Amino acid sequence: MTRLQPMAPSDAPEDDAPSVEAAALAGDGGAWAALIKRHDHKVVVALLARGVLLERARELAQETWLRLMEQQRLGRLGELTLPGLAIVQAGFLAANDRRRSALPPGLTDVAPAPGPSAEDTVIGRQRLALLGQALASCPPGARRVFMEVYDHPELGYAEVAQRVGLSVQRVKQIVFEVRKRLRQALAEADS
Amino acid sequence: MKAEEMSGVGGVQAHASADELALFILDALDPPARRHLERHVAECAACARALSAEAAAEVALTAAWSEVPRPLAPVLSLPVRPAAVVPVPAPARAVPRPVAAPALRRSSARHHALAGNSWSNGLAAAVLTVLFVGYWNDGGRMTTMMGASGRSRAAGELGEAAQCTRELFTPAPLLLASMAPEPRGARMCTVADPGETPGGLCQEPAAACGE
Repeated sequence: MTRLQPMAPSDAPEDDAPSVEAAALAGDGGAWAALIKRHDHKVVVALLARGVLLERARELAQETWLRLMEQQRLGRLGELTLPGLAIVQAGFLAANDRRRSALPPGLTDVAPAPGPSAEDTVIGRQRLALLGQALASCPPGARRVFMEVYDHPELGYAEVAQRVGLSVQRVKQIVFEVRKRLRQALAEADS
Repeated sequence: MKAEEMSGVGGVQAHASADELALFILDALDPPARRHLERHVAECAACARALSAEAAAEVALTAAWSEVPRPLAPVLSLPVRPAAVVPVPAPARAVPRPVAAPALRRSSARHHALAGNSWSNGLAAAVLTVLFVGYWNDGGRMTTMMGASGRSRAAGELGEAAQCTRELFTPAPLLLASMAPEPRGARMCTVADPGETPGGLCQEPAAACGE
């Protein structure tokens, strides 16, 4: 499979997501590189959630970006809403991949985790309320950083760090801690 | 296979911890740890499943995030202004203005103003009743033992207790002032009253209020 080659750094500003996407829509390779760097891991995570193996998920993510760039070059890409569009495209590729495979899914992919799949998982009202309570119990500063990250999936850690005035490493640490607290709240409710 | 170990190509390696998996999903692992985890997950089916589950949890959280109730912003402490009573003007200079349901509004305001007094009086009466019933059930022994002077002293103490109860549950003077019956001819201000404070008392001729 063709792997994307690293491109030259883009001149597009990192903190202005719409302009980067507009530049990518205009065919700017550097803008595409910036967007791939920003959103590729989210695409991989979405594929992992579908039970795709990590290595295969990386390949499918690469193929996803190639297809999007190809569609842009053909003028079929009217707008670029990321990471949603890439995740949807990757989902189609994963489904095709599974259908094309001669081997049963269990031998090529990791069997999905026990319980409902990511698509079927619906966080009920009660669990949403628990999440809200756990979020409210976090320090306001940490809460703000976490909400900034999850309210703006189009932004990367670097952009969020710039917005909140913290280092990228600190933003990652805060997101990890708050997310851990949310997961613990759900786990305690389940137990 | 033990929980802490796995059989890999390079020998026995520790399973990835939940924190490592979460950090990987968040793209927050440093490069050496990430490479180590990727090598391990490629060879360990259990950790690959755990990674898939962690990814599914992340996708679910992301999908439901917009519905997670957000903590409310701290409530601003607004300054409390005392109710301003505008003096009632002379009827000759007053300009009648139509007022929606003035009688009902006045009745409601008076009800609220008197509610505090009624409540404290009722509570005092209840205390007295309890004391009296207790004395009654006691068969009058307390009275007998105390004698005439004791009875009068007991009556005095009961009176003091009632007074204390009434004082205890009487609203503070400031509250009383705000709950006092509005002056005759005054009415509550509304937003529609130009130049007046909503909720305060406005000047209003008695005739316009239906009296």
